[in-house]
Amino acid sequence: MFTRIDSLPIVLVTNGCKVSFALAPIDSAFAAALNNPTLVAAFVTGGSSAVFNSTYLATESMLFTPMVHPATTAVAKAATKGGLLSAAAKALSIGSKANEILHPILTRPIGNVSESTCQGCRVKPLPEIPKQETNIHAPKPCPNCIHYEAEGGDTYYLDKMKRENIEEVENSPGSGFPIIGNLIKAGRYEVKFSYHREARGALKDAGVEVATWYIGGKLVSGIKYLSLVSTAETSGNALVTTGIQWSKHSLERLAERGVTKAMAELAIKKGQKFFDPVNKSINYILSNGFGSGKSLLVGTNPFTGEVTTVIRSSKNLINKRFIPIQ
Amino acid sequence: MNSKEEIIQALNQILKTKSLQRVEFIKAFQKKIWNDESIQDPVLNEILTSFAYDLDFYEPNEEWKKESPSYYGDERLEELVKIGIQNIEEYYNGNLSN
Repeated sequence: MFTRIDSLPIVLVTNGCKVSFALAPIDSAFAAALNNPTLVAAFVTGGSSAVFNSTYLATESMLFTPMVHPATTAVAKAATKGGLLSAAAKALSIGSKANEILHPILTRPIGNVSESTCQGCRVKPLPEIPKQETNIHAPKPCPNCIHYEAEGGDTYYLDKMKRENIEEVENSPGSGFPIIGNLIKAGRYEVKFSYHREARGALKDAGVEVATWYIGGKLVSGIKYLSLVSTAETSGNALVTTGIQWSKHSLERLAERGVTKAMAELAIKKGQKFFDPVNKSINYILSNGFGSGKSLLVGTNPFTGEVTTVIRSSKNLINKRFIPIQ
Repeated sequence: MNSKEEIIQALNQILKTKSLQRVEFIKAFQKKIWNDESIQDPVLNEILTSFAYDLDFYEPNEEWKKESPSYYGDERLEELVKIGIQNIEEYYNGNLSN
C-alpha cells in the first residue's frame, strides 16, 4: 500500500524527462499573467486548466506534448487586445479536450503509470529517485502493533500522512506569499507528493488571486476614473451653466421676468459694460437684445462678478450716471 | 400710469406696506414703468426708469441681502421712495423738466 504512495513522486520524475519542459508553460503563463493583466481572464476561465492539464499530459507521455503548445499559445494570445475572448474560448476548448484525455489516465491504477519510464522519449531520462522514507514525513505504520487494526489500518495511516503532508505544504515557508505562494504550494503538492488535486487547487487559487488582484486594480482604477469623470462633469457643468454665479435675488428676478441664464450670459458677453456708483454695481446692457426690441440689464457684484439682478424693459436702461467701462 | 397722482399713489403704497407686500407693490410699479409705452416724455421716462432700477436692489431677506453690497433694506428703500416722490413732484411742478 505504501509503495504506491512512495512511487508517486517517482512516476513524475521517471516521466520527468519532460518535467522541465512541462513546467515552462505554467511559469511563462503566470509570468505573462502577472505582467499582462489581459491574460488573467483567459487564464482563469480556462487557460489555467488547459495549460495545467496539457502540462500534466506532457509529463505522462510524449504523445500529449503537442497539447502544451496550443494551450500556451491560446493563453499567450490573450495578451493581445481583442484576442482575449477567442483565446479564452480556445483555452477552454483545449482544457476540455485535455480533460477528456486526462480523465482515464488520472483514474487508472497508479501502479500502471509508475511502470512507464519515458518510453519513446529521445531525451535521456532523469535518474530514478531512490525511495526514501524522508519523502513522507509521517510516522511509519506498524502492522504488527496492537493498535494498528484498531485505528483503521492502512486507510487511517494514509489519511493521516496526507493530512500531515498537506499541513506541511500549507505551513512551509513561502506558501503565505500572495500569488506566488499558491504557485509554490502547487509545485510542492505536485512534485513532492503528487497530490494532483491539491496542486491544481493551489494553481487555480493563484489564478484567482491574480484575477482578484487584477479586478481589484481595475476596480480602483475604475473608481478613480469615475471620480475623475464626475469631477470633470461637475467642472464642465459649472463652466457651461454656472460659470457665472447667481445670487438668490437674481434667480428670483430671472424667473419673474422670463429671462433665461443664457440670455443673461449673452448680455454679459456682448452687452455694454457700465459701473453704477450709486448701487455699486457693474451692469451689462444689451440694448434691443430681444426680438421684441426690449433691452436687458444684468447687474453684477463688482467684487465677485456674481449676478445680482436682471431687468428686461422696452425702455432705455442706460442711466446717465452709469460710467462706461471699456 | 400717466398721471402724477397714479405714480405717487403707487409709491405711497410701497411706503405704507412692509415685507412681502412691499415687494409686491415694488414689482407692480416696476412692471408698469418698464413696459408702459404711454409715457412719452423722455425726462419723466428717465426719472421713472432710473427709479424703478434703483428699487430693484431692495432685498428684504437679511440673508439674501448679504450676497451683494448693492442690496439694501427697508430703511434705504424708504429714503429712495421719498426722494423719488420728491423728484416726480418736482418734475410735474416743472423744476425737473429740463
